[in-house]
Amino acid sequence: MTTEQTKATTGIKRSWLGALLHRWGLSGEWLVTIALIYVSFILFVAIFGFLFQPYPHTQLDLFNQLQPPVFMEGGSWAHILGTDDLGRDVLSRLIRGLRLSVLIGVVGTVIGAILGSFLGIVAAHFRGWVEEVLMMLVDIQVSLPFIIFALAILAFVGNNLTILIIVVGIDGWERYARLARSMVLSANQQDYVLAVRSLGLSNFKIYKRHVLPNILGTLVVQATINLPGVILLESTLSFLGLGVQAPMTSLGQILGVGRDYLILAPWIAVFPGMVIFFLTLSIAVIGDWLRDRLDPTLK
Amino acid sequence: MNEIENIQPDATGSAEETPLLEVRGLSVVFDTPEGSVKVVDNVDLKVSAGRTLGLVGESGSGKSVTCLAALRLLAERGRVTSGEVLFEGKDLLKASEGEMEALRGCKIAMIFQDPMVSLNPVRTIGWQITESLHLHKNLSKSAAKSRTLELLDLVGIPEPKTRYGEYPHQFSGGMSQRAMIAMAIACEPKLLIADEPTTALDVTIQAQILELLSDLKKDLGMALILITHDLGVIAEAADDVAVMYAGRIVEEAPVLDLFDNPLHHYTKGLLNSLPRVDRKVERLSAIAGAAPPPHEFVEGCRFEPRCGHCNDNCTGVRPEFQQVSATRRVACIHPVTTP
Repeated sequence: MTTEQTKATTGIKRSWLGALLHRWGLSGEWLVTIALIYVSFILFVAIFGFLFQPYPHTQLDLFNQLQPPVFMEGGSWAHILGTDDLGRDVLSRLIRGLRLSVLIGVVGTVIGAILGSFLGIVAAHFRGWVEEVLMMLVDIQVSLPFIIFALAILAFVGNNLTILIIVVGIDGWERYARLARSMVLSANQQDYVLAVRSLGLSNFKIYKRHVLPNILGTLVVQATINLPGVILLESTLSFLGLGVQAPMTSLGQILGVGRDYLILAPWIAVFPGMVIFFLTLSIAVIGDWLRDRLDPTLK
Repeated sequence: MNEIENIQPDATGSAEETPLLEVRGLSVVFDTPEGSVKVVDNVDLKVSAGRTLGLVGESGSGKSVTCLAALRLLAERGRVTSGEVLFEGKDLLKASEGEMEALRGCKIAMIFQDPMVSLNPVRTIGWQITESLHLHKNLSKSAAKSRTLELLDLVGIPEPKTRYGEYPHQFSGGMSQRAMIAMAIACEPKLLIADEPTTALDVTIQAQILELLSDLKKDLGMALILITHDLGVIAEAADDVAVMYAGRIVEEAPVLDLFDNPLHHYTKGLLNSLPRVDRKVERLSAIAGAAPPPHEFVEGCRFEPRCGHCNDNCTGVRPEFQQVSATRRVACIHPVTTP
């Protein structure tokens, strides 16, 4: 876009909201905007939600077990989203569980992304037997049903939050490794790598300053594709009872508890389920949008 | 070929001074699954400060590999088996990787064939030029930026301030090549190696880039190695020429002598295959056959299978260089005799 065009488009009077959307490249991207707002809201709740949490998430209200949400018959404002089988406030548990789910999802994804990308770059740099071994590990990881692997580790090694985060983080490293390896291989064939090498850059600087920025966009997109998977994996493990253990709670764990009352009190499972569903959907939408944004040649 | 007239005939006297870069007996082997092939065989080159050496030859004759090997930039498969590369008296093949990194881009810089892919697509032009400044010179941020703007101006990029923040895809081929040149000369190198700098550009831009290179060479006192397969480019820009065929140098001469009086049959064939404006040619003559791939190199004179002037003496024996004059030599047993 030339400067004249930019001036012309910004010359049009638009609301401050429209101008803001335009500046961030969100004009017309309603789905992305909604997804961004939703994800920001979820992050806000995950970080600051404890300030608005009506009850401690473990507090029992034995007189009001399985109370429906406020908009259903028999609901009350005391428990806006109802209570579970022990009379615990669903909203409070949701806020608390969200916090842990987001933490596990984000940290797990970052662990997987860094580990996988690093091993991929190492494989592409050293080639030879290093590459053979690493790619064999990737193939093993791919052919292993990960959920069984994760269950085995959690059952044998024991279960605490750190181990859980590492286990869900390991899931997906092979995707980053393959992606990073193939992209580094093709980047190394590019003339610009030879050109900067002829300018006297060392290998490390070439990776850091030239190759990594070129492949980072794709890796970030891969991470946004993976993030919902990690959150779902945590939910699955917690649902199966091998993930987050009481008294801690996560979205998957609430879902797992709610499973037993699906007919009687569907709200226990439906609310965390909806939060997970929209969260993963939003992240996927944002990832798609980011893929286009992060490629400067598409501007 | 009236461009030849533009070149000052100062060919004599270059041989005595110590050359800036001297390549002696360089051989490069590529390891392939089918075995090793020698793509560069015992190559000698010399280039002195302030002069342009044209390295001419067909694709695959080992021109680029020779220069990449001299800068130790070969891919893993390529191996230097013998020879030395003396730059200011120091053997680059024995230097440590750290010394080479300090040297590349600072004293010896290189520009490449396709400028559109030789720039990092995700960094701005300004960033990339500034990088090579930061690498070799201790400049503050603002000093580096103003130096970059100067460089952009020097290589003839209009509106340097706007262009500074633009990405390579916003540049045309000629502009990208100018930016590449700006990067290469950022630290005022003593030697610039230009690997087919004009091949990917159209003809009008070619002339501009060659002119730019000659001007810069004069202004900065650089030596220039110009790798090309285009004799027109050689005529326009080179002082001395080395003709390569199948991994060997076959003839070395000052540019005027080479065009007036080629001694090797290959050089002669190349010149005959050029269209001429100064005389009437019915039909261009081509050299029969094709340049051999490295695994089909023959013993003895490698041009022998395509040469119409060979006899039994030519097979099996590598032709030694014959020193024709102080600045000319040719590797042929029966060089072209002047008619």
